[in-house]
This record gives sequence, structure tokens and C-alpha cells, in this order.
Amino acid sequence: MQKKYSLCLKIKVMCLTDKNPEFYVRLNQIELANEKNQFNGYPTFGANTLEVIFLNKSELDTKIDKDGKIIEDLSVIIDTLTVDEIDISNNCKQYGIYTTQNNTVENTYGFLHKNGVFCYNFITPIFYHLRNKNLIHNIEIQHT
Amino acid sequence: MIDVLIVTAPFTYTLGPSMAPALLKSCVSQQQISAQAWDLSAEFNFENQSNKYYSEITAWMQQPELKVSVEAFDWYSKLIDSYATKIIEIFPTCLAISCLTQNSQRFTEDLCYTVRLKSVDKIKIIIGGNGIDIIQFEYGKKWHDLMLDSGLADCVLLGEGDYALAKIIKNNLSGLIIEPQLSNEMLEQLPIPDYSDYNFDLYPKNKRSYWRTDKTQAAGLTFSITASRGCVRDCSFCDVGKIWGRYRFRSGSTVAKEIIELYRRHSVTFFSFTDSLMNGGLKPFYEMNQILASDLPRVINYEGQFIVRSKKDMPERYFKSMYDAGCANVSIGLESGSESVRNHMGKGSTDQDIDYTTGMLIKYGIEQNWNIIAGYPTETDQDWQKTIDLIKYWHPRSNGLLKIDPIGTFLMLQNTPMVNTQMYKDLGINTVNIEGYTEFSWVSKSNTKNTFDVRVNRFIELCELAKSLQMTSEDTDNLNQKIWLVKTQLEWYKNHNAKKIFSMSQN
Repeated sequence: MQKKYSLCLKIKVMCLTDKNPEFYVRLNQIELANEKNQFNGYPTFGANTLEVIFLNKSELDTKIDKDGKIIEDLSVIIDTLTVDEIDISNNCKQYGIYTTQNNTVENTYGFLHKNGVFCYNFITPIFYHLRNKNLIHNIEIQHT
Repeated sequence: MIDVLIVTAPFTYTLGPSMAPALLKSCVSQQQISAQAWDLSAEFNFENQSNKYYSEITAWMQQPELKVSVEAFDWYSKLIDSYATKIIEIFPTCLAISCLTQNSQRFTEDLCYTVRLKSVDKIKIIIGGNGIDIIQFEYGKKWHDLMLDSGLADCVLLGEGDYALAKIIKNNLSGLIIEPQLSNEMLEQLPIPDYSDYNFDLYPKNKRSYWRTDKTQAAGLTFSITASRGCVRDCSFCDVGKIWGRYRFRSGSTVAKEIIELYRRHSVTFFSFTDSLMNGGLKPFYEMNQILASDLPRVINYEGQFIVRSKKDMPERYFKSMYDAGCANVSIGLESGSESVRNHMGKGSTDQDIDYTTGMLIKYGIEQNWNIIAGYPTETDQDWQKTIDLIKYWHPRSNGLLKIDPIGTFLMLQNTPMVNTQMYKDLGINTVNIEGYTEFSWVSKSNTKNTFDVRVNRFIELCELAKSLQMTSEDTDNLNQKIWLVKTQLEWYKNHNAKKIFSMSQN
């Protein structure tokens, strides 16, 4: 019998006094139910795609004071992601690709401050995914 | 459609046909289960060792903390895909993967993943072998549990699989199956391995021995023989006791009969014992030698691991019978030239015993290899010097029959009597966990000069000495790769420490 994998994504939101962010979450193209900003799904064996889609931000939704400091902002933040109870939040924030509505890719470590799609590709079993992510030679540590 | 395809998983050092799939095939066939044996590990080695990425990938399999290049991983992934495709084409009901050591884990993960991806869950995957019962510190669980929990394997067989595999297949068992040890009687009844699925052309004919350097012998294959499981000692650094439990053995006549039968079936004349030590049971060992000497006098040759015994335990006639039966080489776990270090290890061999055994083996023309470990926790500079002096003493007296096997720096292996015991506390061992690896980067409070740097230097000194005296038992390339690996580990360890200090200073 094939094993069933589980996913739990927790989102934090930053709201304005008169406006909440509108967003939804999809796993492999299927929208997940929002239960108080917690999303539960069932990844399949092999490749999976998790997407967070932020919809309703306008330019007026970032409020700044006279010194240019942001005092209020509408945004969506990836808080934690676990797959099979293994916390992969950092991996998700590091490797997720955030494409804004202007078609630019921003590296904001899971902080969605513009309309756009945050897309994270991963494979299950998750330990196998993490192993492969750590496998390839990086330039930070030269071993050979 | 066959019931089970039995494969070996790289990385293993293979010179001849691997015994596990052939023996398991023979065992399940007795239960009317159809089986195919595939020595995949050997195929991986022999068909790819000239590839430019082979060394990089096999180094990673043995030391997963090493990173690999994108190009090497791409080459390796395609290879895995081709193996998985072949398995899907055979489409067995069960795929049984034999993991000889933890060096088989990375390949097994990849093979299971790819087979699963291609076959959904239509092929039942069973994993077993000595390399699966190892803790993965990152996940706080054993590797076999990780494989089971993640769905990469359906069934894990812990323990000896000779009879259990048939039970799993017949009863369609899943999950963790723990098998008790086989008794002497059950070992005695094991069938002769069935190598009929093997393509013998795959194996080199000029590289017959795991330990011998003599490549000039007549062409032929090396077959494995198991006369015993377990060890009569319980050395502090060794996990054989955990893997095999108590020492068990087959009778000398049964083992001799198997050697003679394999010689007749396949014309094979060189045998390598898989035993932790051939002379654990002196009576059956002597009996086997007597039968071989009588039925096939000096026709076959064999090699195996061996322990140093006293003159009283092993009088000269034992060595003569070894010679008469065709013993060509023994690999001795000498580990250190210092008696006090060996005593701490629990080896139980005195300097006098070593002199006696070494002399006897030379007298009867039997090549011997000494396994040496650099940097046992209690080892001082003086102890290390005794090891070097012992090698230098015997070198001119050995007629070229003494070789040195530099094993590596001392590793704090899981499941050994030393780790997490009173001995560990007494030595005040402090391990550094680097990305889940704790084995090599340790220091003992009772012998603080024995640092990882010192151990690496001792190891390199040993390798260089063996090379300069022409006492190396392995190819210079292999030895150079070993040196490269420990140097790489040291660099990695220093990088880690530098990062740690930087991080502490930032905080």
C-alpha cells in the first residue's frame, strides 16, 4: 500500500486597519482549505509544487511615515512548513521562488509584500529531498 | 514473472561474485520461490570504474558529507534510472536489496525512489543487510526506520535473512521484521550459493584477492565462503558483536564440502572467507584444512581474516595444515604495535603472541596483512612509535610476506562496545557533531594530544611508510585516495570549527 504523506503550512498575515490580505494556497494545482491561516494537504510520492498566491495588494497598502519608515503594510508571510512532521521552513523560504506580478523574481525569504506567486518545488519523501538539496557542491565550502 | 529479484547495493569493494544474492536465491528456491540474483554492486563497479565521475560518486557514497558536482550527480542519476528501468522490465513481485554496509545507503535510497516512481507501488521493496541499522542523527531515527516511514521500502529485515526472506515473500509480510540469530545447526543446513544468474565475464580475472598484492597468479575468479558469523572477541572499536551477536560456525567438513563443490561446478580455485576471523573455532578450522589438504592438495587457494593466538592455542601443526590446504593470505586485525593499546581494545594478543604468529606465517609462506588503526583514544606518541617500530622490525624478516593495511583514523562507530558505555565516560570522549557525523571528530579528555590532526598525520605517516617499504597491500591509487579522503575530512573539520568560532564571535 502506498504511503500517504502530509503537509502543514502556516501563514502569518500583516493587515491594514481596514483591509486584510487575500491569498490562497495550492498544492499540485489543488487549492487547500484555509483553516485560520493553516493549510493541510497530502503531497504525492515524487515531485510536488506548493504555491502561495497573493492577490489584493495595491500601492496604497504600504503606509509610510514622514521619515519614510513603513508603519503599516499588507503582506503574507510563510511561517512554517512541515512535511511528515519534518520542519522544512528554512528550506522552503530559501529555495522557494517568489515571482511578483511584474514578472520579477525577488528573494525575500518567504515574505510576500507584492502580489505574485511564491512557488516551492519539493519531493517526497522529504528526507530524500533534503538530502539532495545538501548534496551538490556549493562554492561556500570547497572540498576538492 | 519472478517472485523476487535479489540485488546487491553499491558501494562495496568487489573483486569476485558477491555471495549474498546467490545464497539467498538458493535459500528461497528451496521454498519453491522463483528468484533471480543480480550482483548490481559488482556491475556498478566494473562497468563504471573508468568513468571520470566514478571516484567522486563512490567517495560520496562512503562519506556522504562530501559534496558532488552537478555533472557527476547527473551521470549518477542516469545510471540509477537505467538500473531502475531494468528492474521494471524484469518486474519481480519483490525487490530485495542487500546493503552490506552503510556505504550502500545512498545508492539504495536512490534506487528505491526511482523504482517507486516508475512502478508506483507495484513492486514490493525489501531491504536488509548489515548496513541498515544505523542512526541518522539529523532525523533522530535509524536509517531503516527512515526508509520504512518514508515509504521508500515496504519491509525491513533486521538480522540474518537466509531463511527469513522466504517467510516474508510467502506470507507477504511488511514493516519491520526482526529475525533471531541462526543457530549452528541452521547455518550447517544452508545450501550452496547458486551463481547461475551471474555473468562471470564481468569480474576481473587478474585481481583475485581482497588483500593480496600478487597479481601474477593464473587467471580465475574469487568466490566467497562463510564458515562462521560473529567473533570470539568483543573489541572496543568493532561493531561485529552488534551485527552478528554471538559467534556461530559451520563444521569444517561442511565448509570443505562447499569449497570442493564450487571448485567442481565453476572450476574456481580462489576463495575468500567472509568471516570476521577464520580461526575463531580452531577445531572446525583445522578440520577444514585437513579435508582440503587431503581431497584437493594445493589445488585451491584461500584467504581470510585471522586473529593472533598464542602458541598454546594454535600450535605449529595448525599453520602447516593451512599451508597444505592452500591458505595464501591472512588479514590480521593487529590494529596497534602497542600491547597496552591492544589490551585496552580487548584484543587479548601479547607481543609474544604476535611474534609467534608472524613467524609461523612467514615460515609456511603465508602472506599476512596487518590492519592498523591510527589514533586509538588511549594511543600516545610512544604507542604509535611502537607500531612503526614493529613494522620496521618485521620488514626485513618477512621475505616480502608482510603487508600493511592502513585502515584509517580511529572512528567512534555507533554500536561498538566503546560508544556510550562506561569506557566512553572513563575516556571522557567529546564528539563534535558536524552535520550529523560524529565518528571522526572526537577528542578524549584523558589523552588530549590525540587530536584529529594528530590522527590524520599518523595515518599519512603509516601510508607513506608502507609505500616506501613496498609493503602496501592495495593499489597505490587506492591508498592515495584514502589519504585524500582523510585530508578532505580534516579540511572539512577545520572549516566547520572556523565557522563555529566565527558564529560564536558574532553572537
